[in-house]
Amino acid sequence: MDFASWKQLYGVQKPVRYINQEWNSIHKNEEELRVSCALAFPDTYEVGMSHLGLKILYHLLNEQEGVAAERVFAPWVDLEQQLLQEGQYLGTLESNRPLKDFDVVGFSLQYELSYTNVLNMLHLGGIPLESAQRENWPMIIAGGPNTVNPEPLRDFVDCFFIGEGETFFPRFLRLIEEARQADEDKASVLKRLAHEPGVYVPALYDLQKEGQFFTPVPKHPSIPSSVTWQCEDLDSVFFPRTLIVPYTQVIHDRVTLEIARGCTRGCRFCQAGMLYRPVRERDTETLKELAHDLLLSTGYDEISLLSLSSSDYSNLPSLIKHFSCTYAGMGISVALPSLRADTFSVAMAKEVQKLRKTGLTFAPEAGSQRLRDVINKGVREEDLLKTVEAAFSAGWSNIKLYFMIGLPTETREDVQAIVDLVHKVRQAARKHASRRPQITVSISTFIPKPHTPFQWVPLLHREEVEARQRMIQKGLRGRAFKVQWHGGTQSFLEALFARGDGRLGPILKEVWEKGARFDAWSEECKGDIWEDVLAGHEYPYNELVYAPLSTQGTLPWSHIHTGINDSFLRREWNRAQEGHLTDDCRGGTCHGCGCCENLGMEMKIVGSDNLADTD
Amino acid sequence: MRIRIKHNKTGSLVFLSHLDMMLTMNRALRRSGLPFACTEGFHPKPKFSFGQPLGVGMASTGEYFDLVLQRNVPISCIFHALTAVLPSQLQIQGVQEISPGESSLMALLWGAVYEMWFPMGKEFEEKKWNAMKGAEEEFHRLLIQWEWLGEEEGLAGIRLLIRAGSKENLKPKEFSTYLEREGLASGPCWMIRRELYIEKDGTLQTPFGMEVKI
Repeated sequence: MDFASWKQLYGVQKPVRYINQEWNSIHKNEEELRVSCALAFPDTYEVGMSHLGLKILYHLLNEQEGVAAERVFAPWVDLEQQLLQEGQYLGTLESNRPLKDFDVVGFSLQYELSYTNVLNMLHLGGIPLESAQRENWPMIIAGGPNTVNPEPLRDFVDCFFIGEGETFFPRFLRLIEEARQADEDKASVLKRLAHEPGVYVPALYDLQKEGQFFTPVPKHPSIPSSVTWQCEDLDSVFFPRTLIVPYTQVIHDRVTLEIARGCTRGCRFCQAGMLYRPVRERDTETLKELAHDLLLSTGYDEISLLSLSSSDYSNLPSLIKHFSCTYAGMGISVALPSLRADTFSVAMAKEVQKLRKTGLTFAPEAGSQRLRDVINKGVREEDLLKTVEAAFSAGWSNIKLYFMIGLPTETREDVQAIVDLVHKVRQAARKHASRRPQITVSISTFIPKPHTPFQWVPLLHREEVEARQRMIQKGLRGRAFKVQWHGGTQSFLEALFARGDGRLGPILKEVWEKGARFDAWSEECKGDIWEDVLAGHEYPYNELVYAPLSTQGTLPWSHIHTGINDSFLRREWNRAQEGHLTDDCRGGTCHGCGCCENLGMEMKIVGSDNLADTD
Repeated sequence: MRIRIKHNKTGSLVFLSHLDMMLTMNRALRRSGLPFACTEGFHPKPKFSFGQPLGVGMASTGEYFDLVLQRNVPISCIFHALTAVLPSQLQIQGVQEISPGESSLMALLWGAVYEMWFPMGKEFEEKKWNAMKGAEEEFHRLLIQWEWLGEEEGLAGIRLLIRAGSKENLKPKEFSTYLEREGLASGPCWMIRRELYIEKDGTLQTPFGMEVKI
């Protein structure tokens, strides 16, 4: 490292974000390379390195011969200034090669508020923003859950991949490799790609006004009019046996072992629960083997059993028993990130946290039973209270409860019910707690998401959100409670970009030009810039965010098919309004969402075991 | 078995904070397969004992930490096991067994040798001797020795022996701030810690027991 590069990093916050050569990172010889791909995560290192999808793709792609997959994260504003001042391009961690010199730059779209960072990274990487201005390579692609409404980014991305990427991505890079060797131009490759399953090439679609939205229509009859989500068989798909070990603490800093994909509990607000269907549990023996290799190769002292609902994994008791017997003596702990509010979960948590009780988190989401039925969160108040009692009598003294406000049909009575429920939780806790119970209450604002039964529902007006937040704040005074909020501007932007159409492109570009970055970080989100720019465009953002959408009309994301039939979403929306529950299909009743047939994938449940005694 | 390990900290890894270093060593140790002893309590951790924390951005060719193993392992095996699980910028330079009763590194610490390299201020040539006279007064008994190292690639270098530890301590950053304040340095100082000195049995020595004369 020379003095100049040292000085550059010495002058920025957390330089450890930008250094290279973490344990298990991969550096390939340039002579062996036939195709190169930058895996771009549009947020900081600490956020991106906590994301399992990035780690899976990194190791999967680098296992292929001749392929280099290198990481790049959004530089913080201080390093951005330095890069611009010095006239340097943003490059990858592994080689510092500028993004413009890669064959492919692939963005991971996990959160709508990272879109300005996507533009910023393109710009800093020396790449023109709009795909229309980019005849040349690299090809800009994007994947991740947000691609189920790709329209807000259609101007900037050459090719979206919609679905789970383990099979697609290596095949795609082979195709790019061949094209590059044959010196094929990017436009013709994109035309071929448009016929691949799961691929959406926006440049091959015109925008047509349909009702209140602009929707994409193929320019040519040979181009498919809809694109279907791709889904993987978890037992044949790649999972890494090694992970990069960051030098500094990242948000999720442990071995993450994906025990299952998908959740069919059917919470009606939950986009992930709709997208990652059907539910697929990974084979238990495979998991034990993977855990062994991952712990050995990383040196982590914690392993997290990851899934959308980890207490639903059928073999959980025996898996946990295995981990506590094998690893407890080595000081390795097990984390269960997503627990349902039932006593089984507490028993499981007790098993994994025999020594260290780090805190338990439950998500009742709504305060009243009526509203929990509307959102299909099949948790009853007595379940939650019993769970809390079990947790506190087992020695926990901190719990965290997640709620949402602004859910469809919500009234102020429902909000008051949150306050009442939290007080009941506290009473239940005090009966059993050895120490003063600490209850953290996290209140987020409901954001309607595409491809969910609530996709047509408006965002609650900001003033009303704030009024309801104040109700909760008033009701939960005192040292026993800690209440957390989500910002109003951020909720608005998230709703706007979740449901917006292709006309958002120019708006996004303008706010980026005026300095919007890191909108997901409340201290960086510049609401005034957004307000100014939106006011200057004739975009009906207020209707789009604050008015209900027609359940009959075409939506900006109607060309994306997740495998779930529209009729199912409409039926679920009707049942929600009537307060009817729809039970989990893993019990055997099919509710006809359509994903198994449409995606050609079956639900996979590992043979559940009866390990009755979990103590 | 109690051991003392000496290693480098170079390249881009100079940006690891003390906390990052502890995290990194903890994980490396788990990868090494060495039979490390753990602390008792709710969350067992390897029994590490680190020397003086090194500031973010500083390189070192003389970092030390102590470690307890559950049983005796040949020194050469420990050396190889650790080398195999650490990046080249954190190279192991030596491993020594120490007596179980020896006080911790921090308790014995007496001083540290630093090199500082910095872009020269306009008045560097005129002021460099006088300013150092001033430094001797300002830092008094905390600044034990110093010498100019000449110039390399536009950077001037100085070597210092300063007091370190719990009794008397001069932060190297205070010295580099002085160089900037006096106009000798026109930018941040690139620092390398060369060695630590401990005071034991009435003599000054390196943590590996080599006696030093000053």
